[in-house]
Amino acid sequence: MAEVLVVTSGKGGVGKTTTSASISTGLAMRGKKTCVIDFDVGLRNLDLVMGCERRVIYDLINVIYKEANLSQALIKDKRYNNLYILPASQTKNKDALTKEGVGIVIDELKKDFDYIVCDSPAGIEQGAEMAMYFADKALVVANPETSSIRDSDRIIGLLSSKTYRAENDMPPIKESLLITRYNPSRVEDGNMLSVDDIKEFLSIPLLGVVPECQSVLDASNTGVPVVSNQKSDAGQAYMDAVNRFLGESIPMRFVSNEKKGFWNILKGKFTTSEVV
Amino acid sequence: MTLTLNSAPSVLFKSRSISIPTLNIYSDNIDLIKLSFKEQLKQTTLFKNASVILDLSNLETPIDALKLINICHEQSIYPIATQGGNQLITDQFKKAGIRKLSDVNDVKDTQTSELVITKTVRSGQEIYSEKPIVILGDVSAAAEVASNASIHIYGELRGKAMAGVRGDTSAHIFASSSQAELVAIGKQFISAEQSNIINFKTPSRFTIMDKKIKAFNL
Repeated sequence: MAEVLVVTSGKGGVGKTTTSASISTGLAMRGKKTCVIDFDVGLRNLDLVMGCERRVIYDLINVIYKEANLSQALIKDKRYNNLYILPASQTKNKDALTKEGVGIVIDELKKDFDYIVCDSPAGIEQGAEMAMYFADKALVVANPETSSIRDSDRIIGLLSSKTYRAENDMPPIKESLLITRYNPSRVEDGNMLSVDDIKEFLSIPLLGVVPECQSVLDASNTGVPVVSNQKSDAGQAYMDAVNRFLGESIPMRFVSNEKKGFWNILKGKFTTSEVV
Repeated sequence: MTLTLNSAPSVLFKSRSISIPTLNIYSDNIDLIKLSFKEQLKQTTLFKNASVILDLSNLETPIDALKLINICHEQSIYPIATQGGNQLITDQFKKAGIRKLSDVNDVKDTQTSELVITKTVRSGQEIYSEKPIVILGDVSAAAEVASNASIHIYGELRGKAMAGVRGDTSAHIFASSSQAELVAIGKQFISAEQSNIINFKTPSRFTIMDKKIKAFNL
């Protein structure tokens, strides 16, 4: 049975699209047939992060208004053949998303896919509401800062009230938390909320912690989801999160500062010299 | 014919406050009351067809309740309840079909149970109840909980808690720990900016003493 996962946060700029791209790519890397939908109608970005911006012809809104078939709008990923992208429209606005239309599209996708990942726009209005409405699971993305935590808290409240599952007295959406842009050394200095603080505030299970990493920006700019770069910390953290999502139990990494002691520095020097 | 309930209710309770005049009884002599009644109603038509509450607090000896009610009805005055008076007098009127006002309230009080919220109240959510509220989770920052009665929070209070919002100053607020934005009881309130007594790590209780909100460790 297909599962619908919404990636949401309330606040903008915390890494929803980066996360949607990496989680959906990671699921495809693990052999799951996955479709990722961009719900950010009017501010389309997922296609850039997934590196398929030149191949967008039809979009989600075209499918909702029956101007195109689903198969015409779905873009097959070039790297993983069980990964598909359904882009948003750049010319319309979020009011073009209707509950009936989105419901039909998701029902149709459920027949073919193992996982449907919905990339939510920021805010709590129509776009975000439609992205979460049909979800079975939710991945709440938060940065270690108070404004992001409060907005995430608001979103968790909406997940349990303004969704299909909530309105029809079905088992509630299973929420989990993904902390992004985490910087353990800043936490040690007392300048950033710790993982434990955030867990205590939001009281939902933690799926993963993605460290602040240059590779994330590089990946967005080149249109290759960072999870594909298994040499980077962020890429490994995303793969860990995907594996945990699929039921494996893996210890959290990148949550504490690696001591830059004498031996580590020396080891670092040796490995670089070996490569050179 | 069978009746089924459709979604729209056929009866609905709504709370509303109206002012009702009282009719104070100063004598146990029915004939005297009748004369005095006529005299007063000659001067005004203001109370014609009025519903009134019979104030019996000035009566010391029992009175013929049925006769008094009949006199009222003759003058187009309709008693709906009584107030004051001793048990004996009140019982007479109860037999005649008119109950004491506080009895009406007593019935209401016995129906009070609490509203239990089993989850954390999230940022932006508002919970209001006439009844006491019990919250098993936290109250997040920028969430609001308000009750006509007391509030019990088993998790941490980080938002706003307002007890006794209809003026009940005997209401309490309990919380396991607190970094509240605001705590209010009746018309009194304390914001986080004003005082750090609403910021604590141990289970505590807020109550009104000397017209001020005070915090006590449990």
